[in-house]
Amino acid sequence: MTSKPLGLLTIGNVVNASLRLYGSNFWRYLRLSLFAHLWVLIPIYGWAKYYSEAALISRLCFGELTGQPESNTEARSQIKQKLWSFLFLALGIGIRIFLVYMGFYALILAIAFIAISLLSNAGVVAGIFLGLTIFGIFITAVFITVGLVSRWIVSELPLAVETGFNSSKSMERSWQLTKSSLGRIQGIVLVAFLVTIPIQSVTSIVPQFALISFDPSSSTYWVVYGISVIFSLGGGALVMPFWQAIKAVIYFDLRNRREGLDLQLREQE
Amino acid sequence: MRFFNQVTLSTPESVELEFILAGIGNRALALMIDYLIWGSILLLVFFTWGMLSLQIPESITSQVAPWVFAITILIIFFIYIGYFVFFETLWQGQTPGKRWVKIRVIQDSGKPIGIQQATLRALLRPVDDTLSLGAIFILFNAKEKRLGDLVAGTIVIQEEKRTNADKFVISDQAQAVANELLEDTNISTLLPDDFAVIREYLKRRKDMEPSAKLELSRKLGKQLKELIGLERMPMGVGSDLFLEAVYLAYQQQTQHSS
Repeated sequence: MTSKPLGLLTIGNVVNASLRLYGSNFWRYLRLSLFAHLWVLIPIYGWAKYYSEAALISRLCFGELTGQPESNTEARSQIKQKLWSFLFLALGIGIRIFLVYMGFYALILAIAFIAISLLSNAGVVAGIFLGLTIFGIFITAVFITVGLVSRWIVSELPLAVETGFNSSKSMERSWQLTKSSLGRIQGIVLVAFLVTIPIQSVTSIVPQFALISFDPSSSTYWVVYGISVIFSLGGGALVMPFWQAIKAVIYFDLRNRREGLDLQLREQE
Repeated sequence: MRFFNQVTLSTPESVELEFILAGIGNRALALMIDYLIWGSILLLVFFTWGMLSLQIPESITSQVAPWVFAITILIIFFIYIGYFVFFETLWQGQTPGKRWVKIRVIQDSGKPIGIQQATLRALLRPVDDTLSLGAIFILFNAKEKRLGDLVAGTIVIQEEKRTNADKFVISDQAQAVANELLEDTNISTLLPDDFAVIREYLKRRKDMEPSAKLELSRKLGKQLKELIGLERMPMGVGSDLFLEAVYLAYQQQTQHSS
């Protein structure tokens, strides 16, 4: 463990610490991630398994951060009974964001419809005004969606790490902790994304280019296609533990900021 | 495990210096900021350059078109290289982006970099940017060197935090309680690590959640009470005030003894 506490982390250092966490447990986390990605192939139960294995990686990372590392078996036994909660959590967040998105979509459609029926032969000015309004709503929708995702970003962690949490309580906790840290979280996600570009470029962009140079009717095309699918699955498996580590570090840092989790005096002899 | 990449440099005068390397996260963020600024400068120059080239009469445009093109390419190149050379030389290894994220380029020997290193780094930057080659080098090199760093003999480090100046408010009553503590208790049993925890708490408390803050301050207060051998809390002293007083008392006690 570190000899001195991490202290509060800057945007760049959250990404650095996550990378080092992943780097020093590379094969262990990658194995978990590969198996999690295989589970995706089995509907429903496999998906629940995928989310709980992803959460397991975050739990392992958090254990390292707080100086209480666990083995895979220990950690898994702690979250086994919550298997379905992780799927519910992912669905809960997904559905909410989808509804918000659909709400904005309906709003834009309604405005456009009303405007067109009212001003069927209005001039250019009305058209520009309408266009700007819709553009404004679109931008607002993007901001709100990004904001919601940021506020729920650490929802998995309370569920995976603490006792007595269900999926909705876990979302609430994430909401509370991320309050007043929105900008920093978005910065972290942006930088983390930049860092994954080299990996993404090898695992998903290069195979795509390779595909272009083949004729879709030939059998080589499908061989290359198969390889590219394996590559992008492998790429997903490679990147997933990094994002799980990012979430664990954000959660750890937020709890240090909001609750002083790391501020502990030595035990008296 | 260690969460930061630390290096120890020994200077020619055989002084050992410890640094924390910047890490790819900080460097990516700094680069993003620099490219935003650099892009804006470039846009501005293009705009001016476009305005100027409109002044050229049409009769000679066709003849000079290749020249205009060549000069444009040269301008991009000079702004690209010049931006980094200019700032890294002027600000001793920092660009606006690096300054923002508090990282700095230094020589392998620990000395500040000069125009020579800054130029080498800047000239190799296009190579490092191709296919994120530099990022891959940073990830797999023990000293996080991209090609430019390898050639120029430089490393990128985090600037030391200035923790000397503690910026937080301490209430007026704290000094009186501190005086009591200095008389009645054994503040000197506290270790520098204990003091660091109290200082961190006082620094961060304004951003904490009220209920979590109260719980933490009570816990710390209780532990401290035992550590310094205080029998009972002075009347009307809350845990926050108590921690402030311990902070002051420890500070004054170390000042007296040194």
